[in-house]
Amino acid sequence: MKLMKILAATLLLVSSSVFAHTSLKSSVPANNAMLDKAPTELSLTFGAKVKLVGLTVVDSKGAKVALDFKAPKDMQTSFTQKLPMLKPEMYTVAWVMMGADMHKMSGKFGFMVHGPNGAMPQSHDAMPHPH
Amino acid sequence: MAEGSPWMVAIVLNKYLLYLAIAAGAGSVFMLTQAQASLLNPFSWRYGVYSSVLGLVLAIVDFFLQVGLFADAGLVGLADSNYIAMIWDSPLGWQFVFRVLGFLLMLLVIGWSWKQGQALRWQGLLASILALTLLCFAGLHAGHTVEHATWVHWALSFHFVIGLWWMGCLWPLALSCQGLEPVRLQQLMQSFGIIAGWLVPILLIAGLGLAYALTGSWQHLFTSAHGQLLLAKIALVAGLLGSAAYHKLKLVPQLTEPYRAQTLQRSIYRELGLGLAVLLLTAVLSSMVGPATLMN
Repeated sequence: MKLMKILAATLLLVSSSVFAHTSLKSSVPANNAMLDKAPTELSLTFGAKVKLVGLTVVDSKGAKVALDFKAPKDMQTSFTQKLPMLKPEMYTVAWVMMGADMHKMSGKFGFMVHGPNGAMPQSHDAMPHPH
Repeated sequence: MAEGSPWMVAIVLNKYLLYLAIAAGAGSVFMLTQAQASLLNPFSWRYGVYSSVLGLVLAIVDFFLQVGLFADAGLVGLADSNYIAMIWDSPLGWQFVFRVLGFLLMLLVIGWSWKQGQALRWQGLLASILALTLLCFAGLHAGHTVEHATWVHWALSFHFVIGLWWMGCLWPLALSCQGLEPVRLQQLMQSFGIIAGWLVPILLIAGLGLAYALTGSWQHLFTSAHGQLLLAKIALVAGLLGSAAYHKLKLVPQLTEPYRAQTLQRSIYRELGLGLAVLLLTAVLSSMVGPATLMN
């Protein structure tokens, strides 16, 4: 039993430290972008063809932005998702994809939409770091 | 972000057990084609049939673990119809189908042999080779070699089947050391040695080809996590080869002398221990650790 616990802990450690597959190359808005104008769409570009299986956008309070996301059937390198009108806020985008090797990868990035006249949203230090 | 979830751990452990189930099936087929080992047929039938049933269960478990991993919603996610459909429509769905077909065919072949109370004949041998081919084909639908050239798929197939056959033979061979009289044991070990003498060089060449294709450079072999784990695997495989050579050249020729069978049995169990470590490392390498050539 002890051996199994050690094995499981080792595998968890290995899996979270050395897993390295294709990942997000770029996005629009970019990570940590500060935008004067709310974006109308979100674009993600990966390093190779992948199947995007999950996409969520949440504001700084954790409220989900309503997206009409439907996972595309085919593998692609670039994905575009229409966004609803976003209020001045900080947003976190979370993506989940399946690589050509059928392995799962996920990540997060954030951007900020300024208020009128460039006013900062109240909790702008909560911007997520890229993964 | 890395996927270091308990789902991933469960998938790797399940894959490890799948390897063992395939190995046991292949080992059972070897034993059931060896006339010298007919005294051990009752064990070989149980070994093959139980491992095939276990393989079927593990194939189903793997499918739902993949659903759970992608749904990422706890145990409830296992029944998420959207993710079940997504996995079914992906190559993982085909992987599941080929695994089920392979284990079912293996079960039928060995189960039929058990029911008839007879060793495997050439028809059974051909059918079990087909079963192993299906299981091998299942493995080509996912993993780091998916986007590589056709020769890499061939290399993986030979490496996979031969390696598992070797490991699957070890337990029945160890049991033969106490279940067979020395002359028959020696004949069985020599027969295994002759087949292994042809197959192991193919296994090694295929393994080197795979390492070259996946690692990409000598530098990655030493600097990447994948390369370092691969080096650990190579060290363990070197131990396996040393053990096999010791059996073939030293212990097997002396089998007719007293107590040599016990010495051989202990040594085969040690080899099996090394083999189990190699398979665990392989399950980790092929699931969790991306080779440098995939980082883009």
